Amino acid sequence: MFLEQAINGITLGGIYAIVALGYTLVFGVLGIINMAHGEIFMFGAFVGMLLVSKAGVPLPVAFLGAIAAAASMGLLLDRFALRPLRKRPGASHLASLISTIGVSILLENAAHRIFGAGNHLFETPFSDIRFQAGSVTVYLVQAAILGISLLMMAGLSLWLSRTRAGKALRATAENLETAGLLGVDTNRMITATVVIASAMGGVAGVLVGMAFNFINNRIGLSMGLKGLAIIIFGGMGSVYGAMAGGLILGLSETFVVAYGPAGYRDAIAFVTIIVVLLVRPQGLFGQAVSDGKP
Amino acid sequence: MPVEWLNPYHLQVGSFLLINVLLGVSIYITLSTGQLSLGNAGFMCIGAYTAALLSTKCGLPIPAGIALGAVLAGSAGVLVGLPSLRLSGVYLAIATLGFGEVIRAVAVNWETLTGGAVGVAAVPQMGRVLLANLADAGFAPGDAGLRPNQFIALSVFLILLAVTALVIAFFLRLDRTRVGRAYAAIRLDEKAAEAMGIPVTYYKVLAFSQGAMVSGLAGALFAHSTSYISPEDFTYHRAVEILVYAVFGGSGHLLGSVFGAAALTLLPEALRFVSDYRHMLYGLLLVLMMIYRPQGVIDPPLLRRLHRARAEEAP
Amino acid sequence: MKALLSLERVGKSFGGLAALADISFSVEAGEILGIIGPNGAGKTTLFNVITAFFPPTEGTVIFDGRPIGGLPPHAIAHRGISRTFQNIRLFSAMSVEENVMVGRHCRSRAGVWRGVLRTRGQRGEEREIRERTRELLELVGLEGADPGREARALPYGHQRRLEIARSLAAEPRLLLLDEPAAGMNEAETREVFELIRRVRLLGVTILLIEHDMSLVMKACDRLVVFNFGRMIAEGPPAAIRKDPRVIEAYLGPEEGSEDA
Repeated sequence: MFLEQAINGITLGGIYAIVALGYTLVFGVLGIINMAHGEIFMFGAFVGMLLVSKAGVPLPVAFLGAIAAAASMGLLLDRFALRPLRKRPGASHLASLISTIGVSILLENAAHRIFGAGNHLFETPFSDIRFQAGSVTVYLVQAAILGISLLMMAGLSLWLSRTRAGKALRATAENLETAGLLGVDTNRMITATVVIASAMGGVAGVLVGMAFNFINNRIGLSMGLKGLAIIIFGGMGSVYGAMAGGLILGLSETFVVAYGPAGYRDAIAFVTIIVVLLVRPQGLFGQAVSDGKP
Repeated sequence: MPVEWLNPYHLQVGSFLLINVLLGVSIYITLSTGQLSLGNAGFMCIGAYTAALLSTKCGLPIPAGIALGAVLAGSAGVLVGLPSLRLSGVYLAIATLGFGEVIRAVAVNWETLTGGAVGVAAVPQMGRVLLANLADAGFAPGDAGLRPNQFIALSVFLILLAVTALVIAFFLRLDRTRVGRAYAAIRLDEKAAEAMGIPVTYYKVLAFSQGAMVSGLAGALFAHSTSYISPEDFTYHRAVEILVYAVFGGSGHLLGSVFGAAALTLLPEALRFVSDYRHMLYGLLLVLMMIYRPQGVIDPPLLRRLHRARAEEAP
Repeated sequence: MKALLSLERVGKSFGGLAALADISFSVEAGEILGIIGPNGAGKTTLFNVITAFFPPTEGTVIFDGRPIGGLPPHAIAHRGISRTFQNIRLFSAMSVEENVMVGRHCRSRAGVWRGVLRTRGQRGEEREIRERTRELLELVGLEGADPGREARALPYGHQRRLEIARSLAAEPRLLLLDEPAAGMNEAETREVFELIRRVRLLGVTILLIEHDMSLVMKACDRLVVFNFGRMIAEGPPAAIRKDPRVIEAYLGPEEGSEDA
């Protein structure tokens, strides 16, 4: 029982981590919270759902479709809601926050118009396949989710630390101006970051569909809120903080549901961040912010 | 001879408009110190439930319940504002968003107290209670030429109008005092404000809890105007809606938020097709405002121009 | 004479890098002390340390006989230290008049209720604030400017003066001026010089960071020279001008040119 719950928690945590990574990448580079990330993720889930359940294509193709859809939405988001603000000097840091909130509301309600408010089944062909190891049951879906999320985290870490593009991205995150002086095309870098983060959101969307077997137009909001909680918990802009934070949240939610007041499951994330903000405002893995000049 | 043109439905729309105006004022106050709160729906929730439960469960008179609701929301504002102040804008926005969600989770889950997802029903409605009290004193609405439902809607509207006018007057005055100048200074340049001897933390918490208190007041009045509340009334979408009032109307001046709240409440009423797409429109509006007019429709230079134009017309 | 401000072995480091080290000097009441040094020598950091924007990591700052370490910036303003900023930091969207009125904050006290109810005391206080604001605008030579105009619409030189008026509104005993003549032509610089003299006549002690050497030499009673976060010399302008260490560090190894 305990072990099964732990596996459930880790699976959920892996998904949370992927969602949180989408936020943390954009925050790391742009210093803004992309409030529309949850809704992009939700659209990824819907595209995946349509491809798997309605068109009957194999799962990997559905992943590619979701990635393509989410990535293009990221591109549009950057082009129409973020870039115009970058051009304007003296735009307050709240402007981009508000602008992405606008996009998120727009997308959520667009999804409501298109797909309705009800739940949509997300059926995978192997949803019933499971393994028995002693008293512990593990579903193939869980193993797949865990495998994919670990793969993505490892891939992202490698990409950031080893490749030229990844290094350029980290330089941009370090200091936008300096990176510009060093010849990094910061505008392209920013767009690339938003697109990559959104693509990861697309993957996360399909994973959520696989994990819960259904999706609706509100999962963007609920998963988005958790992603936000995780990056505050793990430290804004910290890639490893997002991964660890995701796992911790996934586990604690699962155990609270199993052994505690299930109704408060969705509040755990926020109780945690409120506590973290009181005790360690920079987050678990974040560095204390010193703003340099007064 | 009843006054035929007095349409209870219009009065009801007017009442909701006034509550939204109060919410617009509440977000303006917090924004006037440069803090973005996404928790005002949570404070509204506290105010509404406090007032509703005090009158339904404890039988407290309505005005006392409303006052306590506002005070409790304001105190919650201090509790949330104080720790959040160490945080820059983005952290504050998310912490307050989290706060709103926690409050809603409590409202949904603490079933014995809050009635859970179903909410609180049979909250005494201000207009009806007033009518009943007056009837005891021997007054009938017919004496004033009104049908009972007209009287009820009208009295709710007038009570809300008086409260809203008072709140607006309060903060318009505050804007022009030492405290209002300190708020504006903090919004424009926190460090410079501090160098000029303004205790930034104190004023930020003050503004934050004033905003929370007005949200709570709006919530409490809302509960006693509709007679039924549920957690659905205080979701994240409500918080965003409140933010849209200020961003659309203009967060640089109190009247901007008032205008924004009024305009965006009436718009769906005036244009039926708008109401179906209301939330999509809000989303689009936020993006477009940030790109083309981040200060909102009404800003101080515009007000000054209007003022000057009127002054020139006068003689 | 009594020291109004004294620094004792003050140091400030950021993440292990020392921006200021071992700074000790005093400012006598009523004097104008100039702080000079090449760019990046730590002059502005010193202002930030004194006003508690960056609390010192070492040493003590004593103002008027009492240590002010650990006080937040607004409390330091309250004690009587006011400042201007190198890159003017006015409340840009506020009017000229309001900027100065904000400066009066720590010398007035009406709170929310007295303000909203407009009590007699509060109205008197507001009148006093406005009067004082008018006087200060006159003192800095802005009596001709529209007091209702937005501060950001003022010409550059006027913004500098408005910033000085704002900091004087707090009735400081010590005024920290960070490059008040930066970006100004000769005539404007002369006006700044005149203004500094007028301010001193009010009994305000001045700590002045300035790159314009002719202004520094004329205006200051004494100079402190910084280089690489350390003090390298201290003394009257005439002596500093001849100090070989200063000439080497500040004016360059060769005999200095006019606008170092």
